[in-house]
This record gives sequence, structure tokens and C-alpha cells, in this order.
Amino acid sequence: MADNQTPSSPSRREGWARACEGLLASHFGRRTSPAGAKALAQLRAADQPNSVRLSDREGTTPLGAANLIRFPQGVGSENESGRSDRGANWTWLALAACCALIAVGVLFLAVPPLDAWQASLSIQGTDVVVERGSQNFAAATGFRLRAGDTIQVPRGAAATIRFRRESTQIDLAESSALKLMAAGNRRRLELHRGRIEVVAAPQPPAHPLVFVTPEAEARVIGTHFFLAARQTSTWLAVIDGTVELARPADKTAIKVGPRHYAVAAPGLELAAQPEHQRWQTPYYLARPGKSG
Amino acid sequence: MNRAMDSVDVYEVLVQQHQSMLLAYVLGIVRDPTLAEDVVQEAFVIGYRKLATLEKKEAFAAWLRTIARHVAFSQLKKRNREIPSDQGILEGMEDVFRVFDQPRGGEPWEARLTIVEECFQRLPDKLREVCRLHYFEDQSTRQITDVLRIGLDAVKKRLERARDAIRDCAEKRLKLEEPW
Repeated sequence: MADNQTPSSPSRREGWARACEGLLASHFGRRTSPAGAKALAQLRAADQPNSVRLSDREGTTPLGAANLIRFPQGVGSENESGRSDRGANWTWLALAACCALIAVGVLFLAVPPLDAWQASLSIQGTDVVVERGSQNFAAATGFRLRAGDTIQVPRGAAATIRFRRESTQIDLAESSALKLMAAGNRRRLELHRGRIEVVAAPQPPAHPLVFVTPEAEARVIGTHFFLAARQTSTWLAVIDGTVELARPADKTAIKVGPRHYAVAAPGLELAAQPEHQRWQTPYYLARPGKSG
Repeated sequence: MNRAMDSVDVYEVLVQQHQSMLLAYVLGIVRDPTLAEDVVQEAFVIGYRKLATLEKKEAFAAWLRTIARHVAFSQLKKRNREIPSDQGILEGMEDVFRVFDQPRGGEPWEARLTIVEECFQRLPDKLREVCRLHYFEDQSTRQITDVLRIGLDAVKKRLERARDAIRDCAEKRLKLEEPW
């Protein structure tokens, strides 16, 4: 390596030295910088009608459920089915009706139907609604839930799902919407918006409880955690146990252990981070769930 | 909650992950803790507003450093201070920070710095002490003369030697080499 090939060598080494100086001064000086907090306060204070997004994805789909959940038709599905064929004659109709009856019977025996959740609601506040198909029910404490139900908790109210056969408990905060799905022993919950606190009893490893949000999927075998689905991000804070958090969009998955949190959002590396001081409240999840 | 508020909260995660790195980088450029804080703050604000232009999320750290460098130069210029604009110096700094940018499964950035910490611990006592006073306690060279009861030239010489020793150590440990 001739010197004439490396005229910048001394200055490059000066750069290495400057970098080391910076590292020494900032890290080993245990400098706690308020710069980031000040920048964030500045950003929050600014009125931003043209909000800056972490992704150029326009808008968020309600859930992207087609990509995340593959359930057999007819179980927890809202698809319209059974339209009559105008050209069908009575014989065909009768045959179809018999087949349908047999299918329903088989389904009833094979899968604990509609009641697989064995769960009911406790309500705090008013106007909690359970959407069941095209019907809406004003829910009261003791309301029995079925697969396919969507619980809508308005601002100022809260709801708790309790299970008859296990100690699992799911608290829905205000402004939340949670849909219960089931296929056989598999249970999934779609958190459309808002936040939930989950204390999950041990689940069979083959059939974990699965929570789905627009950005992520959390698999739970038995743990205590918070999950929040926000406009463009999903926040998971694990208090106890371990939750596997997957992001179907880029097929990444991580395990989030106790006192750690993770955020799934466009443009953010999916990684478990040690609990932040503000999570002890927990700060992010204490925010209102969503407006509209 | 509106979308903007959500975006700022997500950005806060990035700020937490990169704040220490950025402060170290800017300190290396401006060598003034107070000014470095201002530069870092401004860089984060600009970074947020330009985030949509960042195509590769893996390049966030390097991209943020570029923003901070421009802000730092602008601030140094306003104050009529020396600007380390030599390309070799900037590339040298980038060599070091790139090593620490390697993703390690969510490990905090600070946890990756054991190598430099070891280099510091290996310094002879006299050099380590003057380093501690200058870099950790923000004491000026003149203040250090009073504390250590040695002359100004001796303080500067020790700082120079400590700096070179840490650089040489980091050079070996981080396997830094010039790309030729």
C-alpha cells in the first residue's frame, strides 16, 4: 500500500479517534441526553395536519384478515352463504337441505360450536355492544359470547372476558374492538383497535391463544401482557411469561420475554426491547385506543 | 388517537434506540456537550419530518448521522468554529459507527460498546484519569491542571496520548482498516 494511494490515511485515523472520543464522552460519561425527549416534545407539540407516516402505505386496512387468518368456511365466518339457485327444483332443494343438516350435525359433534369460547362478559359502563352477524346486542354482565362475536367497547366503558373452564382473563379498555374466532380447539382474537390486557392461563402448546392485529400476530401459551392496536402500529408489553410476536408482512417473528416490549410498525425493526421506564405505567397502552 | 400521534410514538422507539449513538457521533464532530445536545435534538426533528424519504429502514442509523452531520456543520459555521469537513475524517468516523450498527437482535446500542470500554480501561492510570476528567466530567484542560496540579502542556499531551492509545486499541479490536 503505497502512500500515494492513501493520502487520506492520517485523516481517516483522525476520524477513528474522533469517533472513540465521542463514544467515551457520551457512553462512558453516562451522559443522559434530554435531546431525544426534547425533539419528541417538539414534534408532539407541533400541529401536524399533514401527518408524517413511517410508511408510504396509504391508510391501514381494517385488519388484513385474509392474510392472517385462514379459517374453514362456516366457522366464525361472516361470509354470506346458502343463496338459493333460481333454477333449482324442489328435489334438489330437499337434498341440499338434508346435506346441510348432516353437515351442521357433523360440525356440531366435531367442534364445540359457537360456544367454543365458553366465555362471558363483565361490563363496566354502558353502551358495550356485541356484534353477532348482522345483529347488534346491548351487552350486560353475564352476556355469553360466541365465536364470531365482535365486542365493541365505547369511550368511557370497559369490558372483561372471563372463561368458564380456565382462568384466562381479557380486559378490554375503552375504545376497543375485539373479535372472537374459533376453529376446533384453535382460538384467535382479532384486535381491531384499542388495547387489551391479557392474563392467559397455560394453553396447550399446539393450540396457543392467538391475537391478531393489523401489523402483527401474538401467540400465547400462558402469560400476562398488554397488547394495543393503534392507527399504524401494534404495541406489546409482556409482564410475565413469553409471547411470540409475528409480523406476517415480512414473515419475521420474535419472542418477547418478561419485562420486555416490542412494537410492530412499518419501518421499524421488529425487536424485543427491555422495558422502558414509561412502560411501567404502561404509558403507551394507557393512551386512548383510537378515534374512528 | 390520530395517526400523527401514533407515528411520533413509534418514532420514539427509534429515538431511544439511536439517541446514544447519535450523541456520541455528534460529540466526535463538535466536541462540545451543550452544542451536541442541540444538534441531536434538531437532527431527530428533521429525521422525523423526512422519514418518508428513507427507503431502506436498515440504513436509518447512517441516514440519521448524515442529517446530524449537516446540522452540526451548520451550527459550527454559525459559531465560527472549525468544521471537520475532511472526507477522510468523516469516513473514519463512519468506519467506527458502522461496526456498532450491526443488528444484534434488539441488543441495546450501549451493550455493544464493551470493546471501547475495554480499551479505555487498559489505559495507564495517568492517561485514564485525565480522560475521565475531560470526557466524563466535562472539565476543560485548564480545570484539569488545577485538579492534577500539572501544567497545561502536560494535560494536553496526556489527552493526546490517551486518544491515540484508544484509537489504536479500537483499530485492532474493531478490525478497522481503510478500504484500499
